[in-house]
Amino acid sequence: MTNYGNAFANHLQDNIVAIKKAMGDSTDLVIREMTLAHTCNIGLFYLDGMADRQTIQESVIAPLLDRVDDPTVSLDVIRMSMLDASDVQSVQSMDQALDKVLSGSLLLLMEGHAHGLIVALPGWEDRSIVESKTQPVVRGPGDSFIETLRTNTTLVRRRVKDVRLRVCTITIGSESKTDVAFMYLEGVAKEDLVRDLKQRLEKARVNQVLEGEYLEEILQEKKRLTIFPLLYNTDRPDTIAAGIMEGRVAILTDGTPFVLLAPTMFVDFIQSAEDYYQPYVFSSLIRLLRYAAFAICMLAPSLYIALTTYHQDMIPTQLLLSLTAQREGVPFPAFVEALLMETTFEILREAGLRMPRTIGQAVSIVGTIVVGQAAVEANVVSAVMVIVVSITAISSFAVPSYAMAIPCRILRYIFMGLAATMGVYGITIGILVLITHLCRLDSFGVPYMSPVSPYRKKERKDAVLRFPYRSALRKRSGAK
Amino acid sequence: MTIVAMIVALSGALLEYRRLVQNKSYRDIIMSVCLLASGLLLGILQMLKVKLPSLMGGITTAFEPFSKMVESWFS
Amino acid sequence: MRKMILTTRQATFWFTLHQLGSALLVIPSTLVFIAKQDAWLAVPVALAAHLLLLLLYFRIANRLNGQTFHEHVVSILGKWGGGLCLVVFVMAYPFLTFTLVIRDLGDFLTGVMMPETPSEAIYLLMLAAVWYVVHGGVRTIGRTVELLFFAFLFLFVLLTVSLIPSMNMDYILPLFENGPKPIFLASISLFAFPYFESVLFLFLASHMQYIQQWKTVVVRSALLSGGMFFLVVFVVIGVISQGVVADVAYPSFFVVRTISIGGFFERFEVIVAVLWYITIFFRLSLLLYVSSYALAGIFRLKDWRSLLIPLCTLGFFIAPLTWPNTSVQMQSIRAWPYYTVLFGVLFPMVIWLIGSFRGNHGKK
Repeated sequence: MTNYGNAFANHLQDNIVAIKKAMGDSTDLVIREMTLAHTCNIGLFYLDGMADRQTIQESVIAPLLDRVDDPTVSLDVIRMSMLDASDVQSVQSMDQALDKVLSGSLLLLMEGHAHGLIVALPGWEDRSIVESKTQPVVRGPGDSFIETLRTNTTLVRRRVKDVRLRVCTITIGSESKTDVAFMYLEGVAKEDLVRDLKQRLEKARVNQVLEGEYLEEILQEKKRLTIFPLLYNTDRPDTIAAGIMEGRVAILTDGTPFVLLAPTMFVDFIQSAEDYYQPYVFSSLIRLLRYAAFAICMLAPSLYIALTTYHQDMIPTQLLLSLTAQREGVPFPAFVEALLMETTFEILREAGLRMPRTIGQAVSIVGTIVVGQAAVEANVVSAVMVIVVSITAISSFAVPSYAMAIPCRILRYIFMGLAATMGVYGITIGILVLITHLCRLDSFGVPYMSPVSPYRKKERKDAVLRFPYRSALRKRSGAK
Repeated sequence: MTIVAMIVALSGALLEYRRLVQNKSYRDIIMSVCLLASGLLLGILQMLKVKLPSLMGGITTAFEPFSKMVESWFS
Repeated sequence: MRKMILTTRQATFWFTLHQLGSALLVIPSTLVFIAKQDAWLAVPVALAAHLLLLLLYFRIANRLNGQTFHEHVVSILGKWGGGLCLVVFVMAYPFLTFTLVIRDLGDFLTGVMMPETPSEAIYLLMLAAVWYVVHGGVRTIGRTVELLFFAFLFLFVLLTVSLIPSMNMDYILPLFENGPKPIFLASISLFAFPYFESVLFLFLASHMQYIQQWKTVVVRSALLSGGMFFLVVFVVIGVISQGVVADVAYPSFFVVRTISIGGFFERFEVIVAVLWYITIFFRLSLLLYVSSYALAGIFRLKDWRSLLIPLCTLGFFIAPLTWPNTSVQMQSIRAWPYYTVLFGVLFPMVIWLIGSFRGNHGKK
């Protein structure tokens, strides 16, 4: 911790020196000194850019100057009747005061008083609420979370107009001092879950928290080694609101539009907000399609390898003939071919994500033409392999949650290895181990694979398929 | 392949023993070591191509008479 | 320890898959070899006999009172006597079966699917998977089986349904050509393998909430697996006739080769293999779990998991020793039922008798 003295001094000048020392003469620190009634010195402190200059002018400086000759002015009078601001608090220690200044408040100190006033006038630049970039929908609400915590809690509260909705905030990170808010419905969310979450986060010793992932890793139990996401994250307020009403706890981090939801189950990652805004028959079918996409994304290249190297008799004769004809000139075994293509695709994808938008076109042209057509024509890979890779790639985008597509992409390589050494037997063993692994996982006391296994009759209605609203009780494991 | 299996088994067992030592479950360790040692011994004998009797062969010779007897009842 | 609870649903699925296990692939040819086209009739006979035997197991289960089965045996036969009996029992029955199943798997894969692959690699992969699931405990196994049972069921229905069109009723007839005797003889092999192994379910009785639940589960899984055996044997005979069935080692695998629907839906015997891997996986997991759980209980170990790796290793190295070639294996299949009588019937019978003798004596 920085050591900048705990109590205010009586003299304003001493305080100014102390604050300057603590903040190290930063250029964005504004110190405005004023003299009221010729004797009473007042100091205003705020960070330029963090606090709103316009509002400070109108609601702090103007009222003070209005009564510049009034000798009765004291700190209490200022607090009770002069300041034109809604959130004014008295502050006793320098630590607290500086923390507030750092998060955009104004500190008011007066000669002869060993305490000060904090006026909350945050006014930093916000991004406006725009459509969700990661999970867009065709039909349904278009807003998404932004980087400001308060806006985000409002977005949720607007959807859950219930007095039981609780928002409690803690601050984590010795340097970043990030506000983290929990939102839950009291009496619906499990109380020990909320307590447990808070305790674990409060105990954590971290320097910085810039995104939800930091919290995710803090919250994850040490022993559990997994590549699967154990917390759901989204920037869609409607999903979060629905989760809260189901009895889950939302964890909002200041500075990021992504909100976490605990506990989480595997099925959540295959569901999309839009499922609830479309007819249930269609949504159910789409969900099945997504499961299929998930499987294809994970298994398509390995099945191709297994079939072409070990079980050629399973392929219909005509297809087999054209396959062998295509593969004739290809110098690599199917495994190497698949590895080559999959890795190329992963590189293209990563490049496409990170590069500046303006050169995006160039990469996609190089990607499609070089990797696709030219590689086939040059007999480096077979055309079928290109098809397999493209199907895999597209399927990985059909999984609605990016977080779930990641383990899928990693596992794809493991399955390819298994298929290359052991064929279908290897793939089967891989699937068995994978399912065992998923069944071993718990997310904050809720089995990851529930409500499918262990089977829960009541919750099943919104698990794999979506049943119509009139029959489905939208309550899941978080609920009592 | 046999050697790979042995290494896998040994390393797995060692990891396990670390946990067991922490829990002070010495009885567990003794039992486990006995079984593991007999397993590895069998493996080594197989690698040295020592001729070992077949298990089912023994069972078959011991229980063949019963099987013959019952089959004679039913034919 | 008592917290490890299986739901009825999980237990039913697990026990069913355990019973189907390796038998699904091997048993049709054994049955048909003895009973010819009447082999399918042996299934209900064996099932009836099994249900009778279950009565004996139920009697024992009633006496458990929340004890585990091995604790019960020790309390009846004394610390040393009971312990010794149980060690012999575990090593000679569930554990031996464990190694045999591994061996079966290896033989099948190297014989039919992938001739060039070393069987050690096959054992290693499967044992690693089984170790992983058993290490998670009953809870994990229960959840896993709950998920995979439907995959299994889907494949099973797909196979049987696609086989039914090519059935020929002439292969089933004539009924009772050789009288009822071969049917009874055949039913003995099915009764012994896998149904004597139901004695192992006694070890898991303490994982159920109520003993009554356990009883329903055992009966239900017997009926389920019996029904599936019946279907498989019946369909297999109907499709490729008894003469062929008895000649091939894995008829339910072989039979799928005959399927051809619409010119492209054919030759998918790999699916049978997948189906079989799933059942084998759960069969092995039950056998390994029972072995290590019972052994740990007998030696009063703190954690039954500590025996998993040694048992797997032992199984890995015993598997090559079980039989040197298929002829010994074929012979052993015929002797096996009489060996398992010791464990499936005699042992529980003795426990029950001594138990009732003691129970009358020492009622407090």
